[in-house]
Amino acid sequence: MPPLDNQHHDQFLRLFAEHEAALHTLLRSMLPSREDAKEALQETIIVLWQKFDEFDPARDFRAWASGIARNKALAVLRDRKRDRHVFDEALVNRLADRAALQEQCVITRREVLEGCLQKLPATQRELVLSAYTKGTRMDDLAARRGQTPMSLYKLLHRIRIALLDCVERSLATEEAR
Amino acid sequence: MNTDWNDLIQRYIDGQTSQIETRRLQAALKADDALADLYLRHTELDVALEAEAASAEVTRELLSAPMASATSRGGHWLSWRPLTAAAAIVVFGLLVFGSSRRGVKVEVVQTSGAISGDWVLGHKARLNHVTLVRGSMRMRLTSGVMLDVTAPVEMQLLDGMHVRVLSGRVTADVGKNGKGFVIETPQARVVDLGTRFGVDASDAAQTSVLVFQGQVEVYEKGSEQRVALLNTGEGLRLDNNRRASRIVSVSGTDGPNGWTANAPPASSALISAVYDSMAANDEAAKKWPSLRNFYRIVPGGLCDGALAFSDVADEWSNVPAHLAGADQVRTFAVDGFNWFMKLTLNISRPVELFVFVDQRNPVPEWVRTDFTDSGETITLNFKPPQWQGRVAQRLPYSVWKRIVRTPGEVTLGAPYANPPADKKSFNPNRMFGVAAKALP
Repeated sequence: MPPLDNQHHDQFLRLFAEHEAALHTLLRSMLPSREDAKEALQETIIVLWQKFDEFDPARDFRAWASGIARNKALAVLRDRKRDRHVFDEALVNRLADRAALQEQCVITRREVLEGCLQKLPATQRELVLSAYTKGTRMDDLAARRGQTPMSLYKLLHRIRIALLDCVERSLATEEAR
Repeated sequence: MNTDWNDLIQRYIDGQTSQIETRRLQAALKADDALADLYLRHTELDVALEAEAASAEVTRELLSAPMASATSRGGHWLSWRPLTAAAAIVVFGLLVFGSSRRGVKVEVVQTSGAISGDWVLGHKARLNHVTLVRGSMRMRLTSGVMLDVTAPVEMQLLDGMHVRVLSGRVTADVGKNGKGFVIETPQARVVDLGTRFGVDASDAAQTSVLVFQGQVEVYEKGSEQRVALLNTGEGLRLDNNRRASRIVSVSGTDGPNGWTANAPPASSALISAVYDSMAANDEAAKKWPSLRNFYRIVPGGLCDGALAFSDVADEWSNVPAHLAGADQVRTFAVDGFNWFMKLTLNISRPVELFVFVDQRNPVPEWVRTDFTDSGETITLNFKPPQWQGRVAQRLPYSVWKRIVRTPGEVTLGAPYANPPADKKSFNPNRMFGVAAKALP
């Protein structure tokens, strides 16, 4: 077992920091809500740290961590297997497989997204960030804006689609260079 | 049926689909890889927007890291397992959330003993959001601005010259290159004009701003309306109703972020509060709306080299040995109030109380009546601003003493009995010094 020292701690933090976004995205693709994904991520962190002694530095940290995250997500889903509003395990595994193939792109996509957010009109950018701020209730936000929840939802949907389109276009432009 | 898959996917990840819709989407995702990829793009966007919205893709949780003192990982960590997920994050000492925005470059240059784990010291990172759970630290921003932060504090680093303090106490030392540095709080925007200043937003309903050296401008949050221009030794509170009020006394040491304007001094402090006749009540305060000077209570603070006043650089020297380590009140040196003001101290336990009186001027009547001349002197190193930190004169002050056996209020008079006919005869026109030692 490696000594429990600052160097060991730092090594873990560096690796985790590097791959956290991909792990979070993987969990979000497997789980039906943001809260589930966050909780699973935090439980994953604990397991990763507990097992970090067993991790061989010669191995791929992301693959090792993704395996643990995936097991966490599947455990959450098994607790919810009676819930008919949630995808079955077969599909979730399939989505996780595809996410694993694409996870190298997550950081790039995030960087591109940041640029796309800046391209949005300020009012839309503020709205979408308000909607995603922790604790925001859509009905409250709609009321504050003098909108119905449905019209707010439609507006947010259009903004999200615009952001997705922007990311895809930007990536395509990059590849064409 | 023409399905809007984007809409259906979005509603699924928002938890809004019916059972039938969920089954339909599930079947489609199993059959169509392109649709599965679209689903992944949506979940990816969801995580990224959440991180952006929190302005926290790089979040540091600094704490007295349990791991630093643990001898074995298993037992110690297992004890944290019942904690909430949020608390579990704190266990790691440092976590990074998201990574889309690059953040502001910072370096942790000093930590208090409460933040164990040497890894914090010297650590460089890009941060957008700082949450300090326990302890204190000093961080240097790329602009050269030093920030002292004391837990609990939560702030956003908008850029190297702009910080938003959501809650907690922060002291900024902006140095020569930091002019224009801005701290925002829920109530105020403080623009630095080359200084060291503190902001306390611990109370959600108000912000306290104190200038320890230099000058700042204070604005109402979201307004171009300047509330005040504060100089060294001045401060104010701004509340949610946009009311500004004087901060009459501050307590604490000169250490990093050692001050507090919203809490009484430590329970061991001999003097728990100070106020003057200009702040005795609301009526008095209304008469002096522009008065912003604060007194500073420094438990154990009297020593050679201790600042004598809150608003100038003068220091005490040749402190009598038995007074070293006495609790000190730094009065302020402005001369406009010296002939009519009264100063009230709230004494918390039996003490020997001392006042230091400029020997060049007549001894005020209240000093002669209530105090006894100890025969000792203490020296004021007079350092006017134009001397740029050098001592212009060494002025002997007499040490007068008085026993206060019953805790409660003690009122002191003005440094001078009458308005000076000729101000020159009272130069330098400083207030008296105050100190207290506990009775054995």
